[in-house]
Amino acid sequence: MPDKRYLVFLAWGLFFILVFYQVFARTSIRSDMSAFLPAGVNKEQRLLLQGLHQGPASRIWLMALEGETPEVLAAVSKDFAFRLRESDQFLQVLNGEELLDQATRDQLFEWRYLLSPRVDEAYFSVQSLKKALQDRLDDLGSPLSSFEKELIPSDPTAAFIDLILALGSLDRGPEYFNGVWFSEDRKQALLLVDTRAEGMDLDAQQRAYDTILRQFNKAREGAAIRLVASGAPLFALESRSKIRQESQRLSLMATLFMLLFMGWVYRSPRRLLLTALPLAGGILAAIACVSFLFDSVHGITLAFGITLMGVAVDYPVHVLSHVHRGEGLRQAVDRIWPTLRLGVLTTLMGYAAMSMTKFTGLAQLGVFSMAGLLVAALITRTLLPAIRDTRDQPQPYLMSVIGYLDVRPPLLVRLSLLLVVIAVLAFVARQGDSWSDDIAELSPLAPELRDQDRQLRAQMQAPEPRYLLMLSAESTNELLLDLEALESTLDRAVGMGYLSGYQSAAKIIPSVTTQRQRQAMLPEAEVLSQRLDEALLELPFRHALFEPFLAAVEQAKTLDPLELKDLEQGSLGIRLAGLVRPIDDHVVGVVQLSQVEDPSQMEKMLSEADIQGLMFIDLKRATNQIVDTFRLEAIDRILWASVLIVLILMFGLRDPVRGLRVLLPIILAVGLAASVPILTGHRLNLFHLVSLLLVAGIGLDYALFFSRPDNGKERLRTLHALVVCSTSTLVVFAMLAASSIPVLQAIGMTVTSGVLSAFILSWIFARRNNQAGFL
Amino acid sequence: MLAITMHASTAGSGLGDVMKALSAIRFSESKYTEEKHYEMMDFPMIQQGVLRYESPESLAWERGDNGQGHYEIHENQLITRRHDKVETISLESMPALRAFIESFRATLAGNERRLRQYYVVSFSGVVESWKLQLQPRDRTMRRFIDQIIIQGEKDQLRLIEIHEINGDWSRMKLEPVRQEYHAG
Repeated sequence: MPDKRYLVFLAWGLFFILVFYQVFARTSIRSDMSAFLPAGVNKEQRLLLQGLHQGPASRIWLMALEGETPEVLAAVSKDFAFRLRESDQFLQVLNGEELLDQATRDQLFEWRYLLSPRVDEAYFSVQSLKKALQDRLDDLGSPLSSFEKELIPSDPTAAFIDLILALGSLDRGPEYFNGVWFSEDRKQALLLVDTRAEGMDLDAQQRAYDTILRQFNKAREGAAIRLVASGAPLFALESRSKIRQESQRLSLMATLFMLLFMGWVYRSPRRLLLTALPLAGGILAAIACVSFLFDSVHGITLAFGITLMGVAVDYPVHVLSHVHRGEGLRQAVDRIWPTLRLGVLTTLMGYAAMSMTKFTGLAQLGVFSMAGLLVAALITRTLLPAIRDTRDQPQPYLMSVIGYLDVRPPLLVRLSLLLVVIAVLAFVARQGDSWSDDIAELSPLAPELRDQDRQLRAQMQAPEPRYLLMLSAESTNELLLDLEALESTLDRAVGMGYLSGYQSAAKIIPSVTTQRQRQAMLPEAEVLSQRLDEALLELPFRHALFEPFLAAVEQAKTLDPLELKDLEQGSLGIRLAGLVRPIDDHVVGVVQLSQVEDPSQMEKMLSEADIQGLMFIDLKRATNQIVDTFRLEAIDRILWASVLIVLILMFGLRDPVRGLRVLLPIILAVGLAASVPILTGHRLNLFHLVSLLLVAGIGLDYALFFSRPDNGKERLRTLHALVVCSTSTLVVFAMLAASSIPVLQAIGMTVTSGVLSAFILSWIFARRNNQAGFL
Repeated sequence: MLAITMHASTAGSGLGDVMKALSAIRFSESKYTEEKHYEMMDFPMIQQGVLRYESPESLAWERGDNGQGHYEIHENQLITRRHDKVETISLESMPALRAFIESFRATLAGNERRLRQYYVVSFSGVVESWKLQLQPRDRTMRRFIDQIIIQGEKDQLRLIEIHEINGDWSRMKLEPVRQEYHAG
């Protein structure tokens, strides 16, 4: 017999060496939301989600300086921006000064005749040239001529100025004061910063934020100026730290409570350790398993997974409560194992359903809980009995009072309670659709932060776009050609008033094909020179003034067309990156539509444009659809899991009446748990769904134990175990319900109400000694 | 050294008097004749127009007899009408242009503090016949403009000269047509 025990120790020892190796040497913990959120089931969804969680939008910080006079704020904004530009952490620091950096201006100037949409055959005719020269003469007469005449010799047709003006009119931008961006009321100086680090790289974003704060403090030189920051990276950082703090606080509180409670109940440090052993082993195994299958463990998986696995404490509790005076743990385990096994199996089914969804985060949570519970159950079955327990342990506390619970309420009370429950469920069911598909509700952020972000965006004149067009092509050039082809339709739509404007990469840089076409239209040197001479007749310009112009046109004929990648490093890069993105082996273009007044007409007009693969996207509708897809998928999986659970119960119990006795209270309890958020004015989201799975798992355990055909002392032991289990679960999840993070609160509230209902209902439905009848 | 110091001190009081006189004006309209000596052209460009000022922030040029161009400034907006196009530019987005505009506007408004904010100001002469030499402080403006000279008699501007870095220069002679004062 001792040999067998050592074999068990050896096996578990080896297992945990592997687990420790995986956990401590090979596990990395990720915290970016993109790894937790769904990857998208089809191409369109993947594009959308990648756009939301990657790309420049995820790297941009919005900032405002406030609390001083506009003059002081403007000066600090300039100094602050200068300091940030000095750091190598930022691709761009925009505050209204120099919207185009010198290198980009030089590129636009050099390539002006290939980039300007006005260049065609007639652009260099005598007539056009004469008109242009007269306009320049006019400019010389202007009071501003001192600043405007510099470019006349090299650019008499003002191709460059036209390009700059066209780029400037693409987006309105904020108001100005003293040369920098300001809010309309001039109380806030505005800045926009693009980090070199990816938005998902939260550690790098944290370093960037530290730099921002440090340089802001230097720039304000002790003035009472406040920095208001917002944007996707800040949201990600705030979420991370909030989840971290909250889960640390909660797990500390929960652990403390469990230690005190279990210590008090079992009155032995040794037994206290035994209750923690399956949970601890399960958590470690769960981390190892997830990191092995998914390459990393998400912080949220860790935090919520441990919460979901708290049930594992119940297993040793059942064992310890069933130990008879004078016997070891083995006999107790043998006695309760058939019941416990069914509970574990059914709970595993629920988590298996979760792990099979395509929502990465849920799948991780499912795998985590499955692996953890399985190992915890196996530890309870094999390792606990192998550990020598001190015989003659004192009777656990609570045992003496448990007897009062072992009564059955009269039939009338039972019936009326059942009716009340059914009435509540019917009432809630009549509320209609109570699902929330708003992805924002899953965020742990305070609503004030989002409001602040909305205000800043409005001041920046950069409202979050709702409508956009997407199209993909094999290459950048083909994409730009498609975008150019789209322009006439979009211009027409603007003319009809369906939308106020649009931003497209083709407006910034034409396709190589188009640039080549323009190049072919540029006249030969002698031809242009003759035409210029003719155009100059009777105009007062000095002879030979326009040599630089002739040279520039000649040079433009030999230039390689400017490509998107040439502009990436400069100030246009940030805008282009938002409009063109390589995804897989394709290039995807986004056309941002502003103020769409008539989406249905737009959609109709675009379908007539007949551009292959063009998608008109309503972002709000699309993201909601994505969440909707996952919710439907999750429900589908859960329904299958429920069928399996019923089969397992019926097969395992071999007693249909007992099966119903177990199932009915749990179905009602899950229904009640789902009703609580709805009755308190919330809508159900994915996290409620996860909680309901947990309620079902825990509840089935209760119902199974309640329905055990025990007698006398053994019944009291079962009852004791259930009271200890449910008390600990209730307290821990009540702590969660008090959390300020909406997700934790949702889970806490659902599980608390569900577990309470499950306990009461199972207790009512449980059969007492020799009592017959279903109710 | 002593002479310069003395000159400067008398200048200060003279400038103050001129600025005070100018600040009493609510509205003024002057006809102007401008000659521009630009290296780009074979001969100087000569043109006529009307300059209007309305206290405290509005300024308008109307060029030519047949309206070749119209330039208006209201607070921080510059509105230009030329080549059949209307453009609105925020002066706040172009600090050099803002500084340039203030040479006229701050002088016409008699706003010495603002004038000194954008220029190093030297004053000479007396209230009856004075001369301002303005050297720009704005770095971008200094790339183009060397100095601006404004001459006047009491509360009337008579001459504005702009000297550019590249040697180009222009002279605008002003002939007051109408002048209205603030009430009281």
